[in-house]
Amino acid sequence: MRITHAYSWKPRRVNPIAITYFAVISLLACLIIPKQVMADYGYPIEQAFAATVAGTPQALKAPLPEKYPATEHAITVFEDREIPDIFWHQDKFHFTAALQKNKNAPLIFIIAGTGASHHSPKNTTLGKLFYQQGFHIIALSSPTYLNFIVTASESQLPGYLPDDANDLYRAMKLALTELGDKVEPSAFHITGYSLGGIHAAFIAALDKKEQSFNFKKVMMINPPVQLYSSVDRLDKLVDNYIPGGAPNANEFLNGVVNKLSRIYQKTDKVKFSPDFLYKAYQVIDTDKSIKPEDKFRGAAGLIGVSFRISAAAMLFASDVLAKKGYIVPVDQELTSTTSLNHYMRIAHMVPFTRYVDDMLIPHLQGSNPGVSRKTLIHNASLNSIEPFLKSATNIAVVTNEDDIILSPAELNYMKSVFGPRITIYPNGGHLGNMDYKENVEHMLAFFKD
Amino acid sequence: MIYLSHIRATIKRIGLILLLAITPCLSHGDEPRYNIPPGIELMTTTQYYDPIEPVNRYIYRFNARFDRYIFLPTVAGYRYITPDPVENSISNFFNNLREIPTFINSALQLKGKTSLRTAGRFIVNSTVGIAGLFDTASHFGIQHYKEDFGQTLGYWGVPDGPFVVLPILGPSNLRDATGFVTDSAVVNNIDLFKLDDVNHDGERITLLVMDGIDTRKNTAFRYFETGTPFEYELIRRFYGDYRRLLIEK
Repeated sequence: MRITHAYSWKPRRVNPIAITYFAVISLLACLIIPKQVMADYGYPIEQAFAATVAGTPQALKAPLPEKYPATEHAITVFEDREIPDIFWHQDKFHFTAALQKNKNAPLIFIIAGTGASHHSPKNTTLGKLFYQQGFHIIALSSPTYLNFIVTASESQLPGYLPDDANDLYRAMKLALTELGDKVEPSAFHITGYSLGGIHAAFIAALDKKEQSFNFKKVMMINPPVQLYSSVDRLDKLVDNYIPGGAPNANEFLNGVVNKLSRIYQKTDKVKFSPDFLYKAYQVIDTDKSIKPEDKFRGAAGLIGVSFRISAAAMLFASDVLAKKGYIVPVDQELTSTTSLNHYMRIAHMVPFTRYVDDMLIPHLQGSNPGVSRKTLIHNASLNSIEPFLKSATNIAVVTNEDDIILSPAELNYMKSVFGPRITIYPNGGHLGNMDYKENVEHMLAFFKD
Repeated sequence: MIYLSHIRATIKRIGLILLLAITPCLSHGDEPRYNIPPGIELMTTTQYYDPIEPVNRYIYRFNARFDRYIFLPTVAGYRYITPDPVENSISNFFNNLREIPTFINSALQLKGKTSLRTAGRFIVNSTVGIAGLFDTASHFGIQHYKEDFGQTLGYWGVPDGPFVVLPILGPSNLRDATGFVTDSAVVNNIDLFKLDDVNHDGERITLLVMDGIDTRKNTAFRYFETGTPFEYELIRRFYGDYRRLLIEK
């Protein structure tokens, strides 16, 4: 049942021949394209940006266990790495582990999305879900997260997937060593969401050669197909949905917050609940005074700005650590008492694609002379590991028809590569439906033997 | 208002000396390769006046280290040795004492309902709740509020003043720091436990330390977990915005 349309449905007479025809067609469709067409999918938010921001309403979420004995661990990845004073607080690599009493339980690695930490809300949700199913959990930050860049990234310039996979692989082995004889897993699995999803695939491809884990199952949750095109789509949200673009973001955000607080005052007399954004979605969705094209500008702008904020953190850290002089002059010494207002302002205005074009690609071309920009961008996409993905029957994908980081061509590409191993939900935006009951059931069933 | 003028004068003096000392360090060296015209920004963080920024940053760093090496381990030890019901009772006890400034300040802001309910909470919890160890008032459905002298000053139009990071206590501004000192002085003067009569410095310090540990235990914030190198800038903005919202409420 679609909650938003529950009252608009009216019975009307239908031609019986049409019904028979429709039944035969859908039966055939079910046989030919299994899992790809979903009748009665109940995730309620139909607009992709709104779904991405509001997530799943509490009542429709899969239940989570109360007990989740997650502990944070800190290890040194590079013994001889010197950490500049400005990052004094990032002296060790951090990860989360949650261990079963039975040390032979299977273990699942979870990789976070762009700019997210090992204990990001989504990593924690996944951790709890799998812990409940009897898995040991090791959750890792994204290579684009500050702590990872400072302590565990070899080049300190994240985003080139083959290098990211090497960095993650090294960190995963060290994390396992750190846990010692408390874990002797019967099998290893790996999953990740968003950028972490495509990382999981690259790690699986690497492991095929290195054979440290021999992953039994791999699941990619809402991954990009090509890093460059997905970050470009996210970069452009700020320009396309905020009138006047990035320079007007401040004013625009104030407007969004004011609007949400007006809705809050009207609809929610009790406390601020996790479902507030969902309620706001319902109010905006049914408000006839707003033009349809303006309805979810706020949601799109919020996603765009929060993406820029993660990108700015990464860009600044990489620039300082790899001494690229892109926004901070190379001879400028930064200490923990240096004012960063000036650099912060600039870092937030740089699109992610500019980071790739101006910092990452020149750096890679420096260490691999003669390699073209095109080849490097291709190497950071699923295309580059396509034969592996086609042959590896233990890899599955879940994504949405309306995922905002994918173009229709990219979605079709994944359909052709993964065939029956891809599940595409009709709506949910980017990860909005990740903890929806039906999605979780499907995900857990995949990892069950 | 001895505190206000005194603190302001001291900070002005320190700030002036430090500003003169650090001015030569503020130039930006060679031009970087990526630059944008001044005035354009995605998110403003400089709207709150921060004249002693280097000092604030130094204290911010001190606080982060204090937190990591002393405060959080102490809180962890406290949680390890104290059974949960006892911890809750200790939280309730301090929350009950904190009703006193809330009562006074909601009265000063002419918030009748809030001050009446707060007085009700204090009376119920101090008696039925056995000296505040149990939060009986919440069971009866009497809502909890929090008002401080910084909010009272803001309510009557006193501006924020410069942003300051207080040692151990964290981000504040001149107005709220003054408010904090005033609230603490008022609670001390009421002297609920008659610690003034004889020499009770030991008890006084124990109470202060326990109050600190309890506050830290109930504060989710962890330094440098935001994942951004611009944490100080963001905290400065969010502190200012948050206080403004509380005052406007």
